[in-house]
Amino acid sequence: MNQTEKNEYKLLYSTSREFSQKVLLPYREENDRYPFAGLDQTVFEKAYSMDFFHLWLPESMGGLEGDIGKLCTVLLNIAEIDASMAMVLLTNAMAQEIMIQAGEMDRLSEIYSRNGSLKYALIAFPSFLNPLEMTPELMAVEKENGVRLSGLSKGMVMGSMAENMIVFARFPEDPDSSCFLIAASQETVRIGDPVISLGLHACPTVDIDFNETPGILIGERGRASEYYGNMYGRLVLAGAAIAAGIMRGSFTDALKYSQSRIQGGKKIAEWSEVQLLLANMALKVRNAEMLIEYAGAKSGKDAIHDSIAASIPVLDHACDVASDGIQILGGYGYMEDYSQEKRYRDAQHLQSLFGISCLKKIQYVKSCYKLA
Amino acid sequence: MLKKTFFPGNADPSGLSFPDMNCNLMAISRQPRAITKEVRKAIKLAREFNETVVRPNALDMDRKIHEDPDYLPWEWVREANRQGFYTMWIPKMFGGKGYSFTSIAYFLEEISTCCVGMANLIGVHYLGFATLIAAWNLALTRRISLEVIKGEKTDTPCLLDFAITEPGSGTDTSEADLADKGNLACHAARENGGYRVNGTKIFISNAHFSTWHLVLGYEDIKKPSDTFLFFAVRKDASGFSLGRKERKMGQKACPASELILRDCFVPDEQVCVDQRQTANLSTSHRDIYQIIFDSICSSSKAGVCSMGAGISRGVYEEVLRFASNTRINGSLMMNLEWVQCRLADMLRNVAVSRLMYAEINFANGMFGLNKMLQIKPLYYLFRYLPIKVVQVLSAPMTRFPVFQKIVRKMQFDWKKREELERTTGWASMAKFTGSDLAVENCRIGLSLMGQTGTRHENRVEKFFRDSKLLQIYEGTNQLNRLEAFKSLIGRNRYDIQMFEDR
Repeated sequence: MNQTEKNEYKLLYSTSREFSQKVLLPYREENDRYPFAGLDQTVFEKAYSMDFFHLWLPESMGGLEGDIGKLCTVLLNIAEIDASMAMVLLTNAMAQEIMIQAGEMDRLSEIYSRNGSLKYALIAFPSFLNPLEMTPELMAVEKENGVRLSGLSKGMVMGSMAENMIVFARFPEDPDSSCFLIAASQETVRIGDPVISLGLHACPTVDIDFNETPGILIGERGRASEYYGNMYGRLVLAGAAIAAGIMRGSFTDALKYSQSRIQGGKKIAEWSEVQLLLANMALKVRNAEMLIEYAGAKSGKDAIHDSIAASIPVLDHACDVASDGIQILGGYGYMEDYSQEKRYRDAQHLQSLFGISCLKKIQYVKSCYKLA
Repeated sequence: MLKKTFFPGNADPSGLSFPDMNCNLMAISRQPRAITKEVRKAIKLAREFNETVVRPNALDMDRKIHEDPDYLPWEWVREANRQGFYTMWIPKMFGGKGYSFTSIAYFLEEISTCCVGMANLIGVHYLGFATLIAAWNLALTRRISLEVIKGEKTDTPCLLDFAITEPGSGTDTSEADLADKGNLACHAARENGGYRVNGTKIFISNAHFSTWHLVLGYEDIKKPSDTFLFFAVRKDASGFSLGRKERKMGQKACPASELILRDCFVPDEQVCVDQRQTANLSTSHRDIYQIIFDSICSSSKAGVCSMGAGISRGVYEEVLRFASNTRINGSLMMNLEWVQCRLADMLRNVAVSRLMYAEINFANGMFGLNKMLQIKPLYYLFRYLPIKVVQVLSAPMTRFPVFQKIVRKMQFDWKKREELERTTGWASMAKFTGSDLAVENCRIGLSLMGQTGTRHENRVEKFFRDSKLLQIYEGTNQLNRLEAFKSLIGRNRYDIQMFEDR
């Protein structure tokens, strides 16, 4: 890494930490509350003004040219305070990457050249649906005046806020699904209420009903799984960075609490069973940070394979760490006034990112067979 | 150092002796067979209640409390009261329906398959009742029981709760060794005819619904285990008030609240047990603290384990449904080997939890709080005689102090240490096993269902949020492991130190 790159990392690190502490933290509890309609507008506007929604874009569009290491740095710092905001940014990056994989650079550039509006910078995407696993419910039909989409697209992240969305739909005659870009402000698009979900409450998710809605085919017909697979390989590490942020936040709060809470006449941090719990947390946090750093610095053929290998255990460990984070705080950890219970929900929710966790593991070992 | 001040035991310190490991075999000939019928009846009642009240409303109730955290589900409490669930496990000698305590665990498992918050709305009431029973204050038990029964008849629920946790002490309260080093603050100053109490209790389940609060206080907060007292405070007592209702991650139907006692006067008639009442016993007041606590927890932890079994089962049933209706790459999930193996793991977890609470039930029936009421002649006498006849026959026991002295002599002075340790050890193991497996089943379920599992309408995310609390209340699972060690492994070994970590 040369000096310029080091300076860029430092800048991103300090900017994202400052944003988390000063902008995100004051709204965290409020953003997490029912009806889970999304982050406070102030937070969004600030993130937009700091170009966080452009991070993954090519340099020509004001981005960092798809530098996964830099994206991970930002997401980890943000997720330490609130994983929902990090998930919003990752969803945007996922949608952008699908367009890049489909070779739709001109269309992407068009979206980001519309000046000044946050609404246009957001692209909704079904971040938790993997078309490699399950066939989309949404159907596409070729008509004289273009493609029309009908049916339900479940779990559209940011579907209630974004002007553009990318969905997966299938032509009845095709074996594989295709990707479509849809403008949300059409009469035939019916956006549902925010989904009541386990975690990531401030990253609003909705089900969207389409009725003969015009859609623009992204890339080529029947290649959604291919685009998705490539996107997964490029961005899987970013999901792990969010998990690592949750872990770091959980550990920091648990450590702090254990040094002030007194039971049995001394600080609980001095009881060896508590020390063991904290040690397990600390080791998993550090392991996650090292894995992400290592895989993030890789390039070439091995980069995707190693990114997947790094990410899957980190997502699992985040659930363990967040659970122990509650346990250290006892009854207080279970209450919404403390952030530990939120991290516990967020970590478990995040495990379904990019699809069903066991299938991701099976997919990984299949790729090992191929390499062997 | 683990203090051994009451009757020395001669049990195998490994925790693997025949009676330790075979409570079920020992219970075969000694447990009344009719208990099985009671269990079947309790399960049937729970299933009917689930079908009509809990299952159709559980998600709506959870959502409603997400929306309005101060909402109190009185409609559920009233319905449970109408169904007679608040008197079902009160012994007939106190006017209740007299179901065996064994059957409540099976009942709670059933309710928990739909909503563990609802299970707690019933279970916590009996935690309060177990406090009265464990202190063996027969007159006060009768008085409060009659009010509960009246509440059922008049459609005005009269519930009990159990208040021990304080802002500065959670784990500290459940062990005499820890209490003496702890930061306990609920002070009860002796006055003519009673106590003047000052203190705050937190995280008290059902407090907003309860008429009677069973509270733990201390005459000298520097010597808590030597000066403890349990007392009952009525919701309308002067100096008593309810503080905030907590915002919990799950189990939202069951409120957890703060109790505030400011110069609250508690008359002697409402003291369950204090130093004066145990002065004539040969067992020290400190050891009675531990006997009472262990007796209460041996019952309540069976309940927590059964609620864990209920959650494990609830998740398993949802995942089974999902796997039967979902295709992955064209294959039905149910036909994929890795799914089949995970479902087998989940079923195993349900079975293990159920076996664990069955075993502590056997232990409690043979050696614990249920022992007296499961002596066959007494059991059948109470079972087949009408409530009113049982009440007349047992009236002298609750009215004349001499009977109370005899019962306390039996329960505190003649209590065999190895029996108490056996029930305490099994209860602790059941508690951490049932709750850990419930959380594990939820995690397996979510990992199988992906995004579908994280959606509220599919129930599994609610089970996941609810299950975590089982690892915390009734002593954190870390403390329960230490209690299992102390009761089954560390006993009779004088080189063992507990709560002395350096």
